[in-house]
Amino acid sequence: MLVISRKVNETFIINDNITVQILEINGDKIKIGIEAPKDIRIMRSEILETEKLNIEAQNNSIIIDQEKINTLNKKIIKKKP
Amino acid sequence: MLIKTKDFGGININEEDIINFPNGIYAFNNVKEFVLLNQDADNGIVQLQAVREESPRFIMFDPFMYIEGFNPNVSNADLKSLNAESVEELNIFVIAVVPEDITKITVNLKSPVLINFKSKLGMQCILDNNYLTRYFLLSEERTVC
Repeated sequence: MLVISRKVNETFIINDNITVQILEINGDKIKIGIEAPKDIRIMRSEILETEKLNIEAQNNSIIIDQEKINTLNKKIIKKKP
Repeated sequence: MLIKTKDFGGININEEDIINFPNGIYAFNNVKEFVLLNQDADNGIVQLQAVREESPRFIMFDPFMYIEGFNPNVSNADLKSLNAESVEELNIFVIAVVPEDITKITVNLKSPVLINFKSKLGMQCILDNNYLTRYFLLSEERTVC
């Protein structure tokens, strides 16, 4: 992974046409501005991950019958997230 | 109203039970109407079934029944879009990926489904919490999200 250090308001450029600017730092939150051509898809990685998981969930999930629920109830102990 | 379901064939639902998802569910943004099936089953496992088509339908868990300390930090913007004032007005579920080997079941804690039954509005949100998108429900290890 390429690592670049930047200060607030400083920028870096990807592929000559995408500009990324550090706008604000507040504790562990960083605001970033991105200027890119319209056809470049930009999203938070957890959204892409959620899309993939949703596709998997609706394709693969099997019906949970009573037997499976019993198995689950036996196995599930409440866990800390 | 008769609908086709993935798991139960044709079933009758009340039109008042339809929940509107104005933005759909991620990757299914065009599907706006769902019903919640098996809500009375008491085991915290429900199906979110599309109304117009057999697919998509999602198996969802009640995270408060299965995951201790689940404490979603729902944003004010999300509350507002569901016409809710506080998170207590919402029903919250997490979408499961259920493989043949049920011990490998995972739930997406980062992106729960929020439903306000009063306004009949629903959405899938992305939480601010540092939760996993692929959380093993049955893992022995108490992994920190």
